Amino acid sequence: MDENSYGSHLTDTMDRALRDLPATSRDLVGGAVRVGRRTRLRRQLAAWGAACSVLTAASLGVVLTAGSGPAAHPVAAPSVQIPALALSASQTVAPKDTKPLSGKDTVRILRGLLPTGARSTVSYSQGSGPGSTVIATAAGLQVETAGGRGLVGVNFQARFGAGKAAGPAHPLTDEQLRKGLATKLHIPESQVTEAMLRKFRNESAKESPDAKKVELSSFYSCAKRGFDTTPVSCSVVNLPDGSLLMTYEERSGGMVNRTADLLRKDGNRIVALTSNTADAKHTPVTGAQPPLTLDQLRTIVTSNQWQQWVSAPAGGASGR
Amino acid sequence: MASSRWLEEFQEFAHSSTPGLLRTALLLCGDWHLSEDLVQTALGKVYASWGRVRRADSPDAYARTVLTRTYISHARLRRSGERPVASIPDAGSTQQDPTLRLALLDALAQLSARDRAVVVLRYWLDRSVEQTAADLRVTPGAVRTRSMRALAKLRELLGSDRHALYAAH
Repeated sequence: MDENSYGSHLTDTMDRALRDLPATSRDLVGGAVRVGRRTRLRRQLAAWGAACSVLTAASLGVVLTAGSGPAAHPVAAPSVQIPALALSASQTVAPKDTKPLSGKDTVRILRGLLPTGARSTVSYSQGSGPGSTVIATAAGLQVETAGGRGLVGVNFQARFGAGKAAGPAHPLTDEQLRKGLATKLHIPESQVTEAMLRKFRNESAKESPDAKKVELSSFYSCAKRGFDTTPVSCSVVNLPDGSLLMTYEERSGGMVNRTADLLRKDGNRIVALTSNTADAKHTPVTGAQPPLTLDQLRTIVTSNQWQQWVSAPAGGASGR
Repeated sequence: MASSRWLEEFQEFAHSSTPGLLRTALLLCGDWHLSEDLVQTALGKVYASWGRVRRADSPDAYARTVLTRTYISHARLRRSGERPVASIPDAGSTQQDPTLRLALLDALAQLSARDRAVVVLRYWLDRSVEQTAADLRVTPGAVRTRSMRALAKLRELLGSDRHALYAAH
């Protein structure tokens, strides 16, 4: 029997062996939807703040034109300049008496920047991602203002576009890795072995956001950003200090999402988003408008409180 | 919002494709419960990209590719902790003798994860050498080599005489 005929025989064998398999008793489809939603949320978080980028020398100083793409109603804007980022390796080392910005710090600062009278509860906070070589944090609040109710989220990423640093800014503990791996594999944490931890640590480093290459000239372009839905408005402008601010509003059915995305000359990137839903993705709308306007988001991202190093209490803090 | 319609579309797709995906997963990993986990994880990935997948020529093919890669990734991480062929569901009141199933899964379990994936893609899913190579992100030559090696091993383990194999029932 040659290979082809044995292959045919094998196909027949597999068919017979599996013919009478019973149906599963588990709700795999429901579980898949839950898994998929978590994946989408993680991707969205990454897209806001941590999903980039190695800046190539060629993209520095590139002149880009905003609002020239296929968007339905983009706001036309004059040509803007990608800021010449002042990045240095020393930025990866915490100055004396400081610690890296943490998820909790991000919540605290975001709350302090909300308009007077806003009421908020914490939805999520996140420190730097697994194996990340840059400081990247996120925070989300459920906010109620006179304007509306829903999510206000912010992402901070230091050294955006700087590429890999010499090593992780602050490696995850084994416990955190174990939890992440158990989630990844959908197995109990007790089944995570030391060998798996080592493997996951290596893979996480490879998959860290700054390994992905995104040209800033395309990234900060209304035409080339790659929106899920065409924004109803979008603009990119240079601010007086040379930083680059992209603001846009997206609508899908009754959902309204607004985003302000600031790239500063020091390489720090701050993205703020508001939505009239709880997660800017799936949940029912809470009203006609998100809690904040684009101008209010701009106020948040342009605050000078966003710094990668924050004062550490006496006695030293872990930084996470 | 399009998401509620997409959700319904996805659920319809997932319900119809789950039985086939479970069979493929069982051939790949040899464990029923792990098969369910792999299928759920793969469908979760499909749902996360459903906006794009629904426009694809063949969402079924996409889901199978995602499942295979999910299995390879899982096998890579669990190389030292491979589960034995143990928890295979009983066919209940059907006439099927589980002997053949056990023999097949036991033989497949003796192949490497990638060899097993090549066999399943080529001879269960009827994928071409080129398609299999693309699914597994290897060269067509590697697929041919693995396929020949795996078939020789399976023939040795299972025998080539189907009548002898089925003689137990």
